[in-house]
Amino acid sequence: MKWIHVKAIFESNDIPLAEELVSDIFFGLGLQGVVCQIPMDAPPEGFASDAVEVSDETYVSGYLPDSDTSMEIIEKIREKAEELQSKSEGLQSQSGLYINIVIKTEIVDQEDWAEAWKSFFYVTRITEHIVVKPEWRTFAPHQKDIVIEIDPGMAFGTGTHPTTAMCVALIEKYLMPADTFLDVGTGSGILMIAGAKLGARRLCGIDNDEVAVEVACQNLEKNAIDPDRYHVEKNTLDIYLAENQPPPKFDIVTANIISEVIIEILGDIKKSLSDGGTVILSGIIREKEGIVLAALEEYGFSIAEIRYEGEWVAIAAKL
Amino acid sequence: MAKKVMAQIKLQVAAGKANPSPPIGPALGQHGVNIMDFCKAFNARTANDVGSIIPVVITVFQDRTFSFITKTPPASMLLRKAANIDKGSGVPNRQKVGKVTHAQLVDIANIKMEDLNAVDIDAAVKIIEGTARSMGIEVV
Repeated sequence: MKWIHVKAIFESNDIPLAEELVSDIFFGLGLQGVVCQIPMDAPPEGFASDAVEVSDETYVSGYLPDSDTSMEIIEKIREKAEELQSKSEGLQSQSGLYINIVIKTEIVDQEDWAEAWKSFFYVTRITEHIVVKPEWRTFAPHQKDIVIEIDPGMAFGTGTHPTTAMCVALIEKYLMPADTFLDVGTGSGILMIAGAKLGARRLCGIDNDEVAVEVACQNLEKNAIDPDRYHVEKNTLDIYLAENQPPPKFDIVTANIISEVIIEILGDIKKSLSDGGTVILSGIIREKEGIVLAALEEYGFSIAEIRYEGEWVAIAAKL
Repeated sequence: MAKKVMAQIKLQVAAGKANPSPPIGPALGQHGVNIMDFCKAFNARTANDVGSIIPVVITVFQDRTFSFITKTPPASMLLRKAANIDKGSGVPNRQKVGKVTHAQLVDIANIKMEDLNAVDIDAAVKIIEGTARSMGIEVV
């Protein structure tokens, strides 16, 4: 897929104000994000000798999918930039703002950046016996090693992130052979694969992102998990439970999402858990630990274990 | 020895909605940062601000780990909200596109205070007023 990188290169006597006003042109046209290449203070850690050279241009840029309408949007960006420039000329006597903007475009190929980070993703041992191996690396496992092979693509879950690693460690501890397993927000499918390799009898994964469902299925297949054992679908938990009556019950439910979503779906998680089942929650930042624990208590869960790594918290709780 | 920095990147992205599409994908991917890890951390930290644009400065280290700090939403966005201006409104150039009250400017200045280079709240209000004027927003 190709994108058009639109740069609004500017000169101004008030960079912070100019940055705001130029960014506002992009946001005003419906973009959801911009890059701001502006002069910044050097980091306290200092730059490495091979650090990326800082561009000598000052600009705000946005990306448009290369489509029939992109030229029209670029034209609007130009118009708005000209408007801003002439407006600032008129305002110069009052506000003293000077701004001069030049619009430049370039075509960027998604492949150029989507794959770049992969060269820094290595084989990682996340528990004593569980190893995550990127598909493009080689690894000679020890006898007791459980290897999860993964290509996360554009879905969440590389396994090296503390939230995933803690989740896998908790699954390893609480999953009993022949348990049934549900992963809400399955992403790359990494937790389902961990569950399958640790002996879950039947696995279900749901995600509201179609890309994730595709990637999860590919990863389950790569790990030679028998397709009769698992099911992945694009859905949300409430609809999934409503569509399957009586709601299916699982011995282990995992949700590595974010605190706000976890709290929102906790009632549905409870409905999907069998008596004595375990929920494993991750993706919680430390400052949100309290509200998640309060919600668990409210729904009648008892806390089995809390783990911490860096700013992240993972919780196992029982019904 | 402390890790040295490879790159510093500033983005403005929608709170709680970071995903690997541009601008995050290309801005971070080209420096070897695990894009999804950043999205996950950013979304967790900004979930309370959904609906706002959040400026974020990401520091990428030599081993491709990263840290980031989030800032207050751009004044222009807060002003748009205060003046009730729809995005992409096609109001002609020289017309005033909306109005804000002085009290609203003070509210915005209070939100922005920590990120503004202002000695006190009056100076901060002046900065926000300048932004409003440049956007064609009238202060009433």
